Amino acid sequence: MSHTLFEINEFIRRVITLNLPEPLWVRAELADVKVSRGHYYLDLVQKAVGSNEVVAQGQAVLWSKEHRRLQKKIGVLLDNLLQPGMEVLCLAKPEFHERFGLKLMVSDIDPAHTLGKLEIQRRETLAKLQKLGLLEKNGRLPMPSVLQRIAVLSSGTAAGFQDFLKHLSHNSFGYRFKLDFYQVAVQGAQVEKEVMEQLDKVASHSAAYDCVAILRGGGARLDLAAFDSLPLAISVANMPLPVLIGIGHDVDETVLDLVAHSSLKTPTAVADFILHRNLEFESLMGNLGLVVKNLATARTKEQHSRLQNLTQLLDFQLKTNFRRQVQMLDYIEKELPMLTKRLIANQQQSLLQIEKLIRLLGPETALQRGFAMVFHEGKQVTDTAKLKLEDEVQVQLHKGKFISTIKKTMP
Amino acid sequence: MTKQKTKLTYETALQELQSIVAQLQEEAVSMDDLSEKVSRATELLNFCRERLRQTEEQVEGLFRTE
Repeated sequence: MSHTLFEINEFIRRVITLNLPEPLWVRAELADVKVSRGHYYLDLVQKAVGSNEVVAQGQAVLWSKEHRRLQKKIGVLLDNLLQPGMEVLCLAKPEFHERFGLKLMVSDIDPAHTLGKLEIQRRETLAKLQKLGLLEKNGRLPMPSVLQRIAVLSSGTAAGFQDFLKHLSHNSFGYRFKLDFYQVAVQGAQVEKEVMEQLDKVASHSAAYDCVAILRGGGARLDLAAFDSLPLAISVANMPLPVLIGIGHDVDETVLDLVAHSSLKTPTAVADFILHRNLEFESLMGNLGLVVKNLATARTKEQHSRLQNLTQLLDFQLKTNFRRQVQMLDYIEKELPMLTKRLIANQQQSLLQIEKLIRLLGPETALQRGFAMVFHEGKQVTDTAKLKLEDEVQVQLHKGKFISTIKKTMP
Repeated sequence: MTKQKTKLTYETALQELQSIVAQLQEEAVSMDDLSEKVSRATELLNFCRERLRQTEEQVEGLFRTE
């Protein structure tokens, strides 16, 4: 006896319908999510604990009607739950169709389960980073005093990124920035992969930048799941540049916030952080400039008064010197005629002396004392040998003269 | 004397002047040289005064331009 495929499938459907008449809470990981005409087609997997080995696999459907109802109940969070990689707890009724096989018809989803799972994962990730010594690695990098060349990782269309640009470019201090934009997805499944790839690119040009900024506008908590990823956290920790994070959230900190150098609430806050840091540097420079200026002014003043003193001293000294020279010349001028007169007077005196001496030694003086002078034929006679008997000689006395004749001579 | 005149400086002039005065004080000048020495002394005296005056004027000028 044989059966048709339809007969078998119809039998399976009946068995399932009879045995599983009520919806059941099912835990599974979303391997893939496809949306078609508002219906959500979900690939479910269960992996072995501690490995990636798939131990169970199945398909589920969330009809558009159910989706709309759930969206009212859960809000935007629903779309974040329905992402590949999420572990979900959903209320589903298994239904078997002869042609399409077994499918779980989803009628409810418990977001608390997913959030709790994520939180546990997040803690595990943090513990691993701590063990690897990566939690504070980026934070230990020195932040440059001036942040001007910035690699920005964001989605060009993200509102937060536009806020950031506006805030930086319209700053009232006149600071200019060199911003290099690296396009990345900031939500969805591609975040981890794209951010890591772009971080690698930035790291290979790290000399061209002062820091890296990862920016994203606001979003639901679940949407931030990618920012809790371990591989991405490791990439950020190992960046050779300080990483600034502004991914727009209010309460919880993502793993990336903890790993990054500085974590700010929003992209605008990142811009403020950058401006503030630059302002601090500028005011430091301003103060130093003032100190330099004051010191220089003090030095100049000091030297100026020193020069003034020197000038006065020089002037005084010069005047003294001139006066001394003039006094000397005056003295010489006065002394000169006196000396000359004295010299001439002295000469006259000596002449007089000489005249007196001459007179003293002359014949007049001898004649006065009673000596006589004898002349023969006009010549003075000082030797009797020159005279003969009967020679006539003239004898000169002090007063008057007489003629006498030689009677006898003696030697 | 003309050879000396070209090289005359305030210092050399003053030295010569002082030496003439010293000679006069010591009465070491002969009458024959006296008038020549005194006339030389007057000449040196005038030179020194003129030099001093010029220098003073120049120095004053330097301070004025500052």
